[in-house]
Amino acid sequence: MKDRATLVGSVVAAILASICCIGPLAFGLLGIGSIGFASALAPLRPWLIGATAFFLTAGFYLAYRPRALAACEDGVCRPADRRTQRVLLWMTSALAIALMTYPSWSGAFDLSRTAAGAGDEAAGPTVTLEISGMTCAACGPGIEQELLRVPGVVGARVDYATERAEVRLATTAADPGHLIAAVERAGYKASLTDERAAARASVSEGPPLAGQWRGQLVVGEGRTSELVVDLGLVANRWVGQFDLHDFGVEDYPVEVAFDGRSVTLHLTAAQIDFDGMLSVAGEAVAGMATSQGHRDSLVLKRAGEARFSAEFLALEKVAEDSARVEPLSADAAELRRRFNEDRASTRLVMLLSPT
Amino acid sequence: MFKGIATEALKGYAVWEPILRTDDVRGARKATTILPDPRVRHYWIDGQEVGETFQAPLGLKGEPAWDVYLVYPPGIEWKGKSPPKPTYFMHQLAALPAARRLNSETLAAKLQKVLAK
Repeated sequence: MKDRATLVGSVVAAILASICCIGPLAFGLLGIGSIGFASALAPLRPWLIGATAFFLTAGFYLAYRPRALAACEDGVCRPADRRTQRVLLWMTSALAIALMTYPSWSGAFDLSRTAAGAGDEAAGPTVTLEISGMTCAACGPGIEQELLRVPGVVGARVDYATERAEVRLATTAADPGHLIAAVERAGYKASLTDERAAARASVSEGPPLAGQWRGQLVVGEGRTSELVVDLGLVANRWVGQFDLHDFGVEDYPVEVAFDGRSVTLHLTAAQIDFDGMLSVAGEAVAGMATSQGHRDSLVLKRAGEARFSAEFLALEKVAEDSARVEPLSADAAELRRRFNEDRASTRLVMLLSPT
Repeated sequence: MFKGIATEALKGYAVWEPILRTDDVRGARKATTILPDPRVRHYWIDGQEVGETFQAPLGLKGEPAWDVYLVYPPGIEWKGKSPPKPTYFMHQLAALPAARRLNSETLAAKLQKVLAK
């Protein structure tokens, strides 16, 4: 009984000692991804290896120690049959050693090639992450699986030797913050480096938002108006302007914030706030628009999109007989010009508060 | 007021400006419905600069000109930065003479008189 307990103990300890590495491999092969539990055992590995060694030593002692005379009965000493025990012990030892040394030969099961393969096919920016906390190459597949779950990520390869993850993105952006969070979900740590900051800059300041976008607004009962937003990058800063032609709103500024795929537009003059996400293919920004207490979905499509479809913002109804309102500059040049053009007429100038 | 004066010889300019905290271009668009006459052009200024420009011709101090109505007969031109002095005006402000407080009938009569000349 004691012998059997020793054997079981050594195998359990060996499994625990290696689970931080073999766990992700097993989970990866099963397709259920990495689990933080496996990596959490990594700091205990030296202790678990010691426990394995202790159990195996005890097992060998019990298997090969001289037999006590009590085994002799009726004056005849029969040699004890410890062959089975010894065979089991050697098999257990082989298994325990294999498990304990798994980190040094785990490269043969490196699943990262599979994960990275998809990424190699797609062109797009690459972000390199530094990973800490890995104890063997088998930690990689779990991290890669978590990274591949991040929207916009098309490939991921973790290199245990350099402790780096190379993440390939679609042409549109994936927020590096999401990538770091994915690594942490896998049970490891990641931190920003200059290289990654540069990658982030290239992602967030690249061309994805540049261009003209169009959407439709509901502005009355069954009446729509086209919202046109032009966005561009000037001196590393996103700038934009928008038009609502039906309401005489032209070339009004848009406050733009763009981080990863997250897009925020503030259309000051129309009091419309829009929070959306850039689609992976970069053809649309979909999100929620808020205007004076009204909130509804709004999709802005790239101008020229064949699949242009209108989704409506339920804006407050604007009086159907409202007149065109022209923007006036601070020097009132437009008013002065019109006033003088109408010099043959009697003129009434009214300065009014809308409220 | 415009409804009662059916002549193309009268032009109106409504300059909507942010005076109150709730004033904005959307409010201005809505407010245009109270002046739905095609002879009236509507402007929105995102600031009080124009109101300040009209302080001098009205003799107004301390606050920008707002809720004021200035009448100009034919021939008067706006030269330079400051607008010309109106031949007549009405208002809804405490800082200007009470005798000129807005009365739509009085203002309409004044406009008719200028147009008749």
